[in-house]
Amino acid sequence: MSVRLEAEVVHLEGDCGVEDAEPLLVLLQADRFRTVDLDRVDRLHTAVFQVLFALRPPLQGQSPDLFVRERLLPILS
Amino acid sequence: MDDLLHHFIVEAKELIQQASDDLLALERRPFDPHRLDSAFRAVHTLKGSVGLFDLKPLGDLLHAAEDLLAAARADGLDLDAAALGALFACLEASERWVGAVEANGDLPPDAPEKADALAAGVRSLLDTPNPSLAAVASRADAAWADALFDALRGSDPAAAASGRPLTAIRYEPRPDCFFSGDDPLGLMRSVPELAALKVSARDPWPPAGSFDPFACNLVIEALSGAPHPDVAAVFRFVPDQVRFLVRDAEPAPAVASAPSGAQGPDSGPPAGPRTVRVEAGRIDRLADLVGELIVAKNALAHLVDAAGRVGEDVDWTGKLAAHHAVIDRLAGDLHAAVVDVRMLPLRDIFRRFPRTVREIGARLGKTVGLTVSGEDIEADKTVIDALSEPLVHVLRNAIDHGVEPGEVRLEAGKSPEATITLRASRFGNRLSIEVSDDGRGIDPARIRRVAAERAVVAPDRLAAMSDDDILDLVFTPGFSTSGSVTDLSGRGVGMDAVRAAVESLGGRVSVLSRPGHGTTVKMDLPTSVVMTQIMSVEAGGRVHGVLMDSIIETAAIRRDRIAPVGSGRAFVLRNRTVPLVHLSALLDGPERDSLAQDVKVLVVRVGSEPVGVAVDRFIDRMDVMMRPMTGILAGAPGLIGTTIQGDGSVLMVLDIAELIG
Amino acid sequence: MATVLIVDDSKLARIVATKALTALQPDWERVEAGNADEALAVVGERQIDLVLIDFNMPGRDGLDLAAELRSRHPDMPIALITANVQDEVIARARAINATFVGKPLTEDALRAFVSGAALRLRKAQA
Repeated sequence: MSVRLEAEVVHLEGDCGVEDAEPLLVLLQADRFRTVDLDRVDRLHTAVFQVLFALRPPLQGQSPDLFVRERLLPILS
Repeated sequence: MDDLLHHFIVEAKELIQQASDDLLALERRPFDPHRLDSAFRAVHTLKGSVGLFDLKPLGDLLHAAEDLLAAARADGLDLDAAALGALFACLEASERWVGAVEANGDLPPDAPEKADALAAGVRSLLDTPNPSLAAVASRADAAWADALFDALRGSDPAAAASGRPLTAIRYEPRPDCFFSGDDPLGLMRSVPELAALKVSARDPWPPAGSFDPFACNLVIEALSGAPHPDVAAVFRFVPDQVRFLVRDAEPAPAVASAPSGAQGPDSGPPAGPRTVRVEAGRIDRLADLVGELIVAKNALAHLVDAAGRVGEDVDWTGKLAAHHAVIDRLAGDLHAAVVDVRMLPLRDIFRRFPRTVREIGARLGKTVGLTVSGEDIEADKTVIDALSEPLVHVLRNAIDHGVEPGEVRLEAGKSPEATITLRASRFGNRLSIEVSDDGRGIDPARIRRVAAERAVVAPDRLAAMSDDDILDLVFTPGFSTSGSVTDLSGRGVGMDAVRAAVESLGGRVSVLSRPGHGTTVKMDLPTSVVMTQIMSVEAGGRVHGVLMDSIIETAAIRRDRIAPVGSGRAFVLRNRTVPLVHLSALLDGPERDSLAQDVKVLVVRVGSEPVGVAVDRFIDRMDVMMRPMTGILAGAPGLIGTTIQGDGSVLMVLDIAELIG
Repeated sequence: MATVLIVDDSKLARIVATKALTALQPDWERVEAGNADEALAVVGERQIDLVLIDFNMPGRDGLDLAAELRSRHPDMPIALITANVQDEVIARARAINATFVGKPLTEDALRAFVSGAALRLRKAQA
């Protein structure tokens, strides 16, 4: 499971593929202020990124992946 | 010098050279868009760098040149002789001014005035009021790239000013691209040398409740430092959704790529850039060799361990010999690889000669073409660097004295345009460079006359000299046969300086002439200069160099351990009696017995025997470039050569074994 | 549940494709065809949800087949499998909305196409 809700924090983990965009959206539509944790994200499919980009939930964590950390997260913050 | 300024000067010279090369090519082939682009980029980049310093006249000048080139680029404006002439004048002034900045830290006082005049000349050629309008219009739809670039300059100035062109990418994925399996940001991940990434929404986002996660509504823009084809390759499956724009390099102040500034401002020679560009493969080779050397060193450590264990029956001689052979080979290879790193193509100095010749010819009212061959031949950086000035002088001489005025040439049945041939060739590790002109040649009778007038040679000797020997007199200090003193030759360095420079590299220079047909100056040089390790020592109040190779060890021997033996003296070193001589005595100089308790001794090998040579002081070990002995000292026993020290004084390098023997 | 048609003249290539697909979507049913005509026959007979087509095939090539299938099934996910392609081929493939998948066909190479296709199928069923 790449999208997981735990104690009101949405965790994105590992390879987040295109199919993860919908569950993420559903979780954020339910509560726009849920924090999304990116501490264990390796890949972020554009569709998943787009959900974060459009809905702008609070984010936490630093992905171990250089591209995600250095290139994508700055765009979301 | 300020590091930034230093890099600016290095770069400015390269850019001016590049622009000159391009313009010379355009002079031959007027409609070469690549050359035009290249010239424009060089001038554009240089202008940008100039802006970092307080050099406004230079900036103004380059701005005008840039406008003219931009107009030519945008409108297909023909760079006719007048335009090329104006541009050459700008480049020539730029080069002089950069030289002035290097030498004095500032532009010459008349620069503002000159810049105005030259810029006005350039602008008069731009007949339309705003010639670069077309260029601006064609860039109008590239505002996105400009915005990206500006953002990059703000966030990462080093990347923005890397000095290389940047490829701007604008990728608008189709809304249904996710269904085709596209992952647009995944593609961005594969973009080589990504420098900036920007994402925006193509259309305003719908309310969260009606958001479609599978419709891509993003516009992705990015900058890459990689060449356009490499970037485009990433997007080959979505060519309909992506646009590229190659941005010229931002003026690079070279800060980002500057070598470490760890050295103090006073270290190293004061003049000239110390940067060498080295092909990556040669560095790799060095790295490989160092790796092997480390392995060999580790193997030696094992051997040391083994030696420490008692009672092992080992063939030490054999093992040590094997290790020595490996390290010996590696040391040799490493030396060769280092020499190779220092090898540069002659092109580095040859490439500016076409313009030099053009300028000198123009100033003297002579049309001269230059043919160059052998520019790919490589030689040690020391040789290359030292050759530049003498060659310019030889070229000047050829144009000034060798080439006849056009009408004289026509009368002689020659083409009015003279040709100078600069030809380099390589035989083994010797380099031959010839400068030939098709001018009037040298008249031996005239040389004889001038030599007699100036009393360069005694009259009886002069009379006895053959014509070939007579020609060689042009290399005599103070000799000049020019009837009229021009502002080009006849001053500053003469042919004697050329000979001195070539000989200091271990080379020879000679001149050949066929009266009426031309003159050839031929230089014969080593391709590499071998650095020799010496130790400098003082004896009898004078400093000498001694080859490190000949020294077994240095020792301080207590005076009371030195005993008279026969007619001389000797001391005991590790149970062996070693004869002792004083270096001053060997050189027939005064032997001053110092009162020091210890006598400083070089132990050298003479034949198979060690001999002690007492000196007053050990000074330093150094790597020097040796000049062989010439003139009356050539062949003097015990003298190997001379070397110029940092302070300009000459150090004699001794072969002690030969002195003793 | 979906049915995939694998079109390739090489039996070995079909086995490789099958393996990769099984790893990604073990539930999907797989049907094979050795050339374009066979493929068209299969599509006429039964429900096919997505197609993997080898670009280089004797007779009618993969791109022709893809164009033919596209005209019959506007929304069917179609992948063209190829080792190297020229730009004009890419342009034509984009025009009929086919996805390129690189050779050798691996799980990784196929993953993006398969997940996109799964997405489309799910949307179509919803």
